[in-house]
Amino acid sequence: MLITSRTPAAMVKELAICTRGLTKQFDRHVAVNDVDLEIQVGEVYGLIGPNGAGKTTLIRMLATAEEPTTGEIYINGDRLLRDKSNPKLKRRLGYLPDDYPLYEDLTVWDYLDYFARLYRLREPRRTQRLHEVLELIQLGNKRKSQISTLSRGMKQRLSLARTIIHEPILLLLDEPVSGLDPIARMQFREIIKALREAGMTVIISSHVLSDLAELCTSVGIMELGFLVESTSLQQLYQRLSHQQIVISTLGNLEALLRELKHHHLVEEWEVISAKNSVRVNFSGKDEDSAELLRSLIKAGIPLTDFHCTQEDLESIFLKLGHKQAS
Amino acid sequence: MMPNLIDRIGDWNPQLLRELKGRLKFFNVAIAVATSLLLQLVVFLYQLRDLPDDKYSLTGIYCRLRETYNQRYNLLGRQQNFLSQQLNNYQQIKPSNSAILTNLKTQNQEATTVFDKFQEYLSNNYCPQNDIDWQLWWRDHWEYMFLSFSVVFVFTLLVAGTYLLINDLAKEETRGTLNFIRLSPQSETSILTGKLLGVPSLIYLVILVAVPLHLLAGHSAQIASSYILSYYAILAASCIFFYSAALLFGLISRLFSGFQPWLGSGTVLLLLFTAMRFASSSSSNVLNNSTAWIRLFAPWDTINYLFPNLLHVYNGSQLNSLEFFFLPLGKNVVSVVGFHLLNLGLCSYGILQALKRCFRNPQASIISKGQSYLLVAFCQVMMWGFSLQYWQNNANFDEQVGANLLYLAMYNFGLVFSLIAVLSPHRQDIQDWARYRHQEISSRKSVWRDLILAEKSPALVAIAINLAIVTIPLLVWISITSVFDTDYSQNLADNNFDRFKVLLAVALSISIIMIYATITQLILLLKTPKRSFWAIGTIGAVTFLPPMILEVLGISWKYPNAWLFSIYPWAAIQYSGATTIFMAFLAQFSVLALLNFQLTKQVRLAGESATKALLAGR
Repeated sequence: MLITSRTPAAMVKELAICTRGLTKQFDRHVAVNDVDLEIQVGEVYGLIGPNGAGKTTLIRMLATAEEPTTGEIYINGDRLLRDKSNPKLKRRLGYLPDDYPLYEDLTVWDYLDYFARLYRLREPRRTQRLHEVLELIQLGNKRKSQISTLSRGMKQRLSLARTIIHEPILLLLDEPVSGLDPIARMQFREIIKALREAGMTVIISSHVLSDLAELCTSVGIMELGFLVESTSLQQLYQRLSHQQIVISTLGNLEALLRELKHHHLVEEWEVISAKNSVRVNFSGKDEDSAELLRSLIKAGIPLTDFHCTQEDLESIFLKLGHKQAS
Repeated sequence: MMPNLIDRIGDWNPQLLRELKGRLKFFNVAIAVATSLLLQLVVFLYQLRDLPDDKYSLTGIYCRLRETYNQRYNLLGRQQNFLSQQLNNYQQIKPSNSAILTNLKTQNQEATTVFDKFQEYLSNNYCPQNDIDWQLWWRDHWEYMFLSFSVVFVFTLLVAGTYLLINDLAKEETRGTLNFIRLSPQSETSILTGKLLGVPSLIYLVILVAVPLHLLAGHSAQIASSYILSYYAILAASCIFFYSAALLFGLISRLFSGFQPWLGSGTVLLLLFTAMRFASSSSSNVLNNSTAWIRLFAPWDTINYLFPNLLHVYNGSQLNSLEFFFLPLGKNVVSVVGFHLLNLGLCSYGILQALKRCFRNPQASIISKGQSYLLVAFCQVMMWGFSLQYWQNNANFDEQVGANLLYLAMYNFGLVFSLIAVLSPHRQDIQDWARYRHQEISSRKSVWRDLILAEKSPALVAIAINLAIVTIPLLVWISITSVFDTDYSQNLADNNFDRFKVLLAVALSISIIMIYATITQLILLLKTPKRSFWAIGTIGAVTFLPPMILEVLGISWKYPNAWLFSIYPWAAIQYSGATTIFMAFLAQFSVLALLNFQLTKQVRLAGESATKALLAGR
């Protein structure tokens, strides 16, 4: 049969998430179109794409909050179904939606205790886990506070705590940092890093690409409901990111540019006149850039700065031209 | 001890613990307990108002001397009456010896004086305290208290409880918190049980605090413990039934956001009041027809059967003569209570199945096609069961069915219309089904199987099957009854029916409902998001407008055949010939066929791929 031939059991088993032909259609509009997503165990996978590209719908289907129109989802090789309440599989999932609703009438501790019990955590492990999680999200001192009194950032961290209370092996985070201040975002990044080190597989959708660049091992780009790119971050940089060198001088820029023109590995440059410096797209290796530096000094140019940078995720994303919302 | 108990509750049912923690706060508990105590005090003091004081009448029902004084009072009254009548008679004949008249007058005067004096004595003297029958007084008043509490319990639990449950669930559904619970490995039953026990916990507390006094009152009023237990069993079963219905309503009624708790509990209040009003009426035979089933959802009739002093029905509880398929249910308390519990139990079980579906997948229809067949069959059994009872003055089987036909028709119309609303899938579902059915592994199944049982397929075949289930008992009756035999002198309601015409009218009813179902399905395929309103509006219009127009214009009298095309073709069959009815049926059937042709086209269109639509320029 068609479907089984596309999903050899052995291949599916190694993947934390594997979807086959996953499609969600709202009327004539196809929100997620025939997506074959494959995420290895232990990866932090960033989903990027413009608003309305289908990221939230994809994550909601993975979290069984939405039923796929057609297609299959496998979590660690097991088929995930919505109607059957397959409790074992659901214990492996942790889902944080973008609006993270909470129960305002409970205290922080009671809220987490409630979810720990829903996931059948027994004493003494439960109390221990609650303390662990509270420490991780840095709300230990707030554990007796009513949820309604918490700040937005705290509520967001509490929601994350709820998501990981049962030690899921797969986290689905939808726009987790939207609306947070820089400090809250940094705290949140630290938590995700800790979870990554603990070996969880994480999917994050976000518009804050610098955050994703710092956290993710792989990214997927969605556009018009299609998964147009799904690759490891390293490969993406190798393929699409140019090495750049920023060179500043005390002397005349013209002299510097003259020298650069002669160098065969320099592809193009951009003058930053305010700082009297040049950003150079450089295609050579580390040895080649050392050679360039040596030749510039030999030419007697008074250099104040010479450092290598790489194009960031944001400019790569913009370069790819995926700007169209579906 | 306490933390241990809480822990155990939490391990058994985390949802229950969460609800209790959110609600049982000191302030709330204090208010609940105080309310309950206040209520008990009010009921108690209200009864104490009647406590005999030192001015209690000598002829009051709790005075032990009452008998003696009453006897004397009656004797004197009779004497005086006798004398005044004699005097009257003599005055009319005017006897020659006037001494008799004078004598009589004196005697009458004396008797009147004695009687007046005795009356004066009665009003000036009171029952001595040690001659008051305190035991009887207390027993009666304990009973009043017991009955008052019994009524208060029913209203408080059912009305306030449904309000809280609908409110809670609707809030969770709109906020989106239910999703997290759905994701947890807990079963639907565990979550819903937690909600059922936890959300109205403060109401339970109010009742629980009053239970000791209720039990004490019942015991002191010498009410048998088995009867009190039966009352509690009925109360619990009613709670489970109404609460699960409330949960279901809370889950599915996103349409009336904010208003649904009031709507739900208001309906329950109205139902309880109306049922109480009906249960206290003393007209006989009102339960000997199929409406009895609806009445039995409210607990009043059964509670009144247990405690006849509750509603003081003149000639005993109406349940006494209740029958089900001619089985005398009302003969003893075990069958009355047992049947009540069984009915509520079965209905609660049905609602629980729907609840499980809706909880797991809020977009799904409330019941599946397969469940709808069971529901309709169950309803037929109940309705026919209560139709088939012997009336005191109407023991004929055919008259029995004839008297119930209107009720049966109304029930079934309501049932089928609700099923059309519940089962007909909306545009999105039809599209998914039509577009991707071939991709499912199970698509090797035939289309027919899909139409009969599958989730998102059009509901027309299912509606037709349900109509068949509704019609089968009716057809059985039509074929075995002698009412429609031509040589039968006493035709049904003296009208000129014959069997063939009746069968045609049944076919007409079925085809008109199928037309409505098809129209509904066509409207639900519209792109507008307000398609539900359009469907309700259109069906309402085609159901009610034609009869109204026929009436207003007076056409119905001139051309009764026009009725053949309305929802109620029965109005016409006595005036129309079999051929006319058959032609009407053919006409309706062609309309149905045309509409279904259009529907098939629409479904095909919905199921075509985007490429095909693009190439066709749609």
